Amino acid sequence: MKVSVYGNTHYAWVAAAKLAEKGNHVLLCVSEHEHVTTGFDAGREWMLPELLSEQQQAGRLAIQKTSSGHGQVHLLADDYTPASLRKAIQPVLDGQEADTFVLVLTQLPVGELKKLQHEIDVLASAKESGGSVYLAALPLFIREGSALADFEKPQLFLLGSEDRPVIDCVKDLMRPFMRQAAEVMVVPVAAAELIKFGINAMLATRISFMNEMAALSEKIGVDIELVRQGMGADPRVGRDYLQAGCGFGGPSFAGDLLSFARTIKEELDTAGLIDAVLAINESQCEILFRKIWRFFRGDLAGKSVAVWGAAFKPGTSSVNNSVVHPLLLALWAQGCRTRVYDPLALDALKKVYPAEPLLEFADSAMDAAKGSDAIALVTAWDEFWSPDFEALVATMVSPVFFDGRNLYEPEQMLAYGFRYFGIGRGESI
Amino acid sequence: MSQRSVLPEWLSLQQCALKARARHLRDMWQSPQRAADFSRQAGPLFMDFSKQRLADEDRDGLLALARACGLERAIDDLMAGAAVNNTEERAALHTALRADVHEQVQVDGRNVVPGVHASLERMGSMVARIHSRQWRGYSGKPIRDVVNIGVGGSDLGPFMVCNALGEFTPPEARELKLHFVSSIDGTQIADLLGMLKPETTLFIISSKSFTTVDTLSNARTALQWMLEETGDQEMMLNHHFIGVSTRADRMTAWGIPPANQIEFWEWVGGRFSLWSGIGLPVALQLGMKGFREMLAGARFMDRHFRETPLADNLPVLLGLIGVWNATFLDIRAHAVLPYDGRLKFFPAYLTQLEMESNGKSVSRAGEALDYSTCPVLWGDVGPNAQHAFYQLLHQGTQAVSSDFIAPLARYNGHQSSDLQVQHQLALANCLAQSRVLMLGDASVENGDMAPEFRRYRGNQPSTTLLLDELSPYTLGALVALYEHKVFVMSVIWDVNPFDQWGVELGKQIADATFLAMKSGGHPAAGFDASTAALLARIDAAGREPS
Repeated sequence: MKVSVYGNTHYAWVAAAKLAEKGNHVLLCVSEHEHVTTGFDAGREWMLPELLSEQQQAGRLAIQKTSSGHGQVHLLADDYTPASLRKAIQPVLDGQEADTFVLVLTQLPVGELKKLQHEIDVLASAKESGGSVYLAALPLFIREGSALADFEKPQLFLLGSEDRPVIDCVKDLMRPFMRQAAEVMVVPVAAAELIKFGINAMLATRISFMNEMAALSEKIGVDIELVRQGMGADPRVGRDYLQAGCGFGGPSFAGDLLSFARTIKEELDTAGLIDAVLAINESQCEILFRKIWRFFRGDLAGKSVAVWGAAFKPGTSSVNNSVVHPLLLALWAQGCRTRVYDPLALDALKKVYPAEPLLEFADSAMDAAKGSDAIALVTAWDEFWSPDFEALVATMVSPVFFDGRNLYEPEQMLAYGFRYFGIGRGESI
Repeated sequence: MSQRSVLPEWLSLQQCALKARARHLRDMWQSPQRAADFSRQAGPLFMDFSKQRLADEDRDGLLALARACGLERAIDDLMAGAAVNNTEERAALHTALRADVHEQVQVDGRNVVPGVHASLERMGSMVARIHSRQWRGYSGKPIRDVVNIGVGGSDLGPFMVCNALGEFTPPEARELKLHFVSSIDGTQIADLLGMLKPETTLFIISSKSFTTVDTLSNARTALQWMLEETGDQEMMLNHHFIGVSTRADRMTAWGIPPANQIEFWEWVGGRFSLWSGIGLPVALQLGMKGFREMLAGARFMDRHFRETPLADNLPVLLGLIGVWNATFLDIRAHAVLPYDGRLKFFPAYLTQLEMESNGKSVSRAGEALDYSTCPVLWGDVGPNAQHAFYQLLHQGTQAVSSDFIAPLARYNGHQSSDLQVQHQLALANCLAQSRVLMLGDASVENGDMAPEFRRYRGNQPSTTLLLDELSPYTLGALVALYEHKVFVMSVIWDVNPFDQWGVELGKQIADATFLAMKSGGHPAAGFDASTAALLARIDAAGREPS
């Protein structure tokens, strides 16, 4: 099948690569429109560059910088605003003769696609010739770092449409993936939008709730790990997304939630639960800073803090909306030096802060810790689980550890000679 | 006899005043030119003084008196840093606070402008840190509430401006809440501390001398409140207290670390200090850009004051009119009536500026004056005051002069046209009131046929000041206009407007009274009978079992 994919996002590149892999002829249009807000670096997704070049060599994938696609199936996957989506869809409509299927992969404010379909219908009824244009929501549930696998074998395959022709088209195109999906749902567009938002919001709510529990645990001297294990043992609660930590980030998580919070405010005329979830998270993103601040009694000028991890989560090179930013900005504002190590994300961090005098980049976790007054762990990369603790203690000016992901055991850290501060565990400060 | 009142120009004005007293304002409109002749524009300010009881010869006489009093020279001296505050032997250089960075103003042979701008930079860096949410409280959380503790000049100016210019708050300052605490009795701070969180609250302790008991007692209460949260006094002082004063040594002794101090200078009078570090709350509300716009507006007025001939000079004319009314027409009350709710606290601000400056009865040479000086001044938002004290203006027995103040444009670009209609209503009321005050019954046909209780005497003079709009720039110009007006009056009256010895004795006696109350025994001993009886009552109330 001839398929066009539009956008320079994670979704666009992954969808293009996977569809080509299954034998489709895919044209990926990454044209740098003014509406493109984030560029995408394929290199940060595991195995994606390999797959892309494989498919290009096989002649099934072409990448171009113009916005004119081919075929009848168009996947819109950029970071759209409602206005920029209308702009992006225009070239598809202009050239349209036969029936055309537009699948929107990006999350938009609830109700937006329905509005757009209506506008297109009005336009079409004024036109004499040409086929119909069908719009459907195809929200993806792929996680950065494991996106190819998530696309191949989705937990949930969700299609938002009530129009037979487009449903048939998607079933045909996506057959290889739908067969492997744990769950397939075809629902009205608005329901699909709400499902996508609802899942993100629920996960975020669990995290913020656990962070609140961690704050309480710390206050009354309970280890949050015990609480988490106990809660997770109840099957009604489950174990996922119960990890207390220094906040969540990432491009879609926070951005979609903000848009969802706005929708709730507009539709229900109330500041909803999600507002509280976001507020807790905003505060949580600075919790490592606050602990460091209190430990050094507000005197951070001239101190040096090693920062372990900058990516918004392990397995990605993206620092987009990572909690590392509020931490670094807060430390710099106090005149504190920072040495950052991240196995993948240092280049991205350099791009964001090309000339920050208080920022240094380290080659390894150990190198970052050298001569530092404290370590702050931001991202739970695998390699941070078991560092050489004795060597760390020896290389640091003062062995103080602020663990934003609760990777370590407080007693063990004490035995190594660290002052250890976790999130809801370790020393309280 | 004082020197001023023997000047021939003074005596001739007294003759003019006799004629003016016999004349009614409604009869002064023979010339259609009067509206144009008796109005002036300077930048964004338009001043109409055609409703003053002022004929051509009165105005000319006042200008002649101004020259005879050496006003032009006095303006130059003021701005050049001469020791115009003669009782305290120092300059009064609020104009240097808004001087352009390239200007030179010498005090004791040193250019003070670089210091002024260095202080602005320091303010700017504090403001940036607070606005970027990087000024942290003891717990590491960013500051959300700022409490300005100050009284008099350290309170009225910033309070007035913050209330007037709220709509100019930039996005980065919208989360920040500003509060003002001034009164010694603790009412404001007690209410406030119940609402605030110590970890996100920052106090600005503003006091020119850093000895003001009102301010320091409130500051002590604030510090105590912080220490109840955690006993780490050094941490609290380092991260929750900023000091603004001319006395770094006293700020340091109180515990404010040097990094949190903003200094200003002895040559800044308290009630003229809005433009210095005392304006920090304004800068926090408007951002430094807005604060600098306000300075630019004042700078515009400074230039106008220094460079414009007396006859076209707004502060000069406003001041001369004030002298004419108070001294020559014996009008002892003056109302300030803004027709814009945002200027609600402008009258209270002027109350201090005018009455503390010119409420004097001794000449610069130390002689008793034989003429009236500053009138009693008060005011409120005009439309509200119409339902309060305008009755007295229209039908009372007092002669009262008034300043009507209004912006021409408001709510432009605003969604609601209803609000624009409300602004027009306010303007209509403004014009109507000044008209009735001028004409009385003559405002309507057959007004003089009404029964006595419905008669309007009229003949109450007023000035109308129109601003293009209310903005940091125009408000800066407006405040500077009144500062200079006050100076002009002081020159004609030959008083020193920059001291305030009248407030000293009360402070001393209060100290002694407070000591007596705390000493136990018979606190009333040594006081006059009236005070002794009151003290005894207070003492007895304190002893009653509760």
